[in-house]
Amino acid sequence: MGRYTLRRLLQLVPVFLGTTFIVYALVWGLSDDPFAGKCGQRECSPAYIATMTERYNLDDNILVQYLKYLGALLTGDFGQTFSGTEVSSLIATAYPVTIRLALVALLIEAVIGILAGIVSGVRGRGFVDSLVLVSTLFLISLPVFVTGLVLKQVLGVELGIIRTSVPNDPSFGDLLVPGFVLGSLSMAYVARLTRTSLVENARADFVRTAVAKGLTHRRVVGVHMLRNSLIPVVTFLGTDLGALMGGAIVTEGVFNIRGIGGLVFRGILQQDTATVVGIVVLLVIVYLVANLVVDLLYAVLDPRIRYD
Amino acid sequence: MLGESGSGKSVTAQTVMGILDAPPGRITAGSVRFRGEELLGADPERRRLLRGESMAMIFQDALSALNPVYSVGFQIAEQFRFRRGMSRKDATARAAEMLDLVRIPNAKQRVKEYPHQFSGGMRQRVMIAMALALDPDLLIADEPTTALDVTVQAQIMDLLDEQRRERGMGLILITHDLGVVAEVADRIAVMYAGRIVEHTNAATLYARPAHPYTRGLMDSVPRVDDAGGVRGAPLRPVPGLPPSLTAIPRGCPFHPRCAYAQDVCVDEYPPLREVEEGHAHEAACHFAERFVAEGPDRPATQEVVSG
Repeated sequence: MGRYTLRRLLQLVPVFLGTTFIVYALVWGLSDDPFAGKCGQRECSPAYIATMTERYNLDDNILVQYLKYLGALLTGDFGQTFSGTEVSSLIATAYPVTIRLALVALLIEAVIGILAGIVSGVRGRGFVDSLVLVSTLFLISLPVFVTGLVLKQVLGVELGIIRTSVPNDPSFGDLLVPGFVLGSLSMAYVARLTRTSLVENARADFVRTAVAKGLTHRRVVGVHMLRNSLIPVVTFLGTDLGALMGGAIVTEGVFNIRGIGGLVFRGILQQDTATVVGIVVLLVIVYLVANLVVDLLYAVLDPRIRYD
Repeated sequence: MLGESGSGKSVTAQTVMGILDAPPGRITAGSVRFRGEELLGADPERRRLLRGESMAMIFQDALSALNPVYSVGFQIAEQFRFRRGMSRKDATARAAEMLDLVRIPNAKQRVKEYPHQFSGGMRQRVMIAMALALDPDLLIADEPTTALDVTVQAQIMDLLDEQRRERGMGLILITHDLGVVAEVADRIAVMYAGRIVEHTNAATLYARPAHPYTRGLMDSVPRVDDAGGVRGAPLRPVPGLPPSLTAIPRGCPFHPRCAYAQDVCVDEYPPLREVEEGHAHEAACHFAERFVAEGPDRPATQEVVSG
């Protein structure tokens, strides 16, 4: 297990380099002239251009630029925006908010999704099963911004239960509704995945064995069916964490949450390379680590996958 | 219990155990009695308590019948923990004893291992240990050796036989292997198309088979001392295929494949009836008495067909 973990960590290195280089090259490559529109209506002054060229190593070719950026990154220096703000301080305020939001979404998605899946999967055809199938289909069909705007309007404006704008340093309670919106789509998938997986396993030979041993129905389902059925669900949840963070941009916009979504959006509009690349680099790391955790969890859930 | 694939052996066993998948399974009539107690229609909780405790079952494919994500020790110990209320530690110790009992070497270590880490034969031993854990009165073995190679088959059968004798336990062996049955069975029921077509003790069955299907099964086994005496003679299978259970032929279900079929076989269903006084020999064939009388000197099925 230790060796496997180490090997997987080493595998992260080329993936990390590849993805970050592509992002770096793409953002700089968005336009031919990095200074276009940077100084209002006027042309940028030669002094400004010189400073910026110096700061971002614009005279070097793209690979050397990237390597210099990477070198600074490894010492913890995320660089500065065009206006001179430290990217690291921007990230330090925005990232925790988004991580909190994504975790709330993941929690809601896992708890409600798995529970709904179990209830409908175990009960078999009937009212509950139909209810879960229809409501998940409903959620899947709705774009996130629709769910978000409707909930904000109803719960926030009409009923006044929630604040329409989430405060700067939100508590988990403040993020409950935004988290639900963000996780709603995946929640529907989790419910359906759990249900299908359970239904498939219900016919498995080892479940029949468990019944033949005279175990209670509760134990047959809860112990013998559930663990096997949750393996694909765990995979989905793990990879979804990264997707939730990247996808938070819409939800953050709807609920005025000052997370990385807004930051990266403004960064792209202003072609603020350092901001965009810095945020994406961290996203890549979150994604890779989440995947690694899933792979390790796999071995815990399913002993047939042994990493030694 | 003897019969081809699809003759209803496993479904019968599952009905006895009360583990039939329902739906699609449905019990419309009949009776399952255990120590005089009617089980069909009994309280489900009562039936659950009988499982494991009074009757246990082992399955054909131990790899899929064992849960891949739990250690074998956990799966055996489970019964001690939840049926006997033992602590996890005591139950695991008992599980190791059970593995030792079915002669799995190094049981104390292997109790922590997972089903995929065992060989086919060892896995079937684990299955047996699990079935015997609560010391049942009846063990149903559903083709326990079909997935194993011949030497391992013999070991598993010896183990089952030994445990049966030591525990005074009833054993229902489900198989399509006539050789295996001859060695261990006292009584044999031959099944065809979901029904018992012949039922008697082993000696009588082999000496005087009363149903042409039983004959066909026996003729289809290659023999070293071939009675015909022709070396290299082709194998003689029962012609045709067993019927689909959704479309069982009218009259005697075996008549389309039977070399002796007459008009009456097409029209009338032959019920299972006593055919030989004093031998508890039952068969479901219109001409059973004739076949019994022919005894061991009977012509092979194929000779009848070609003659």
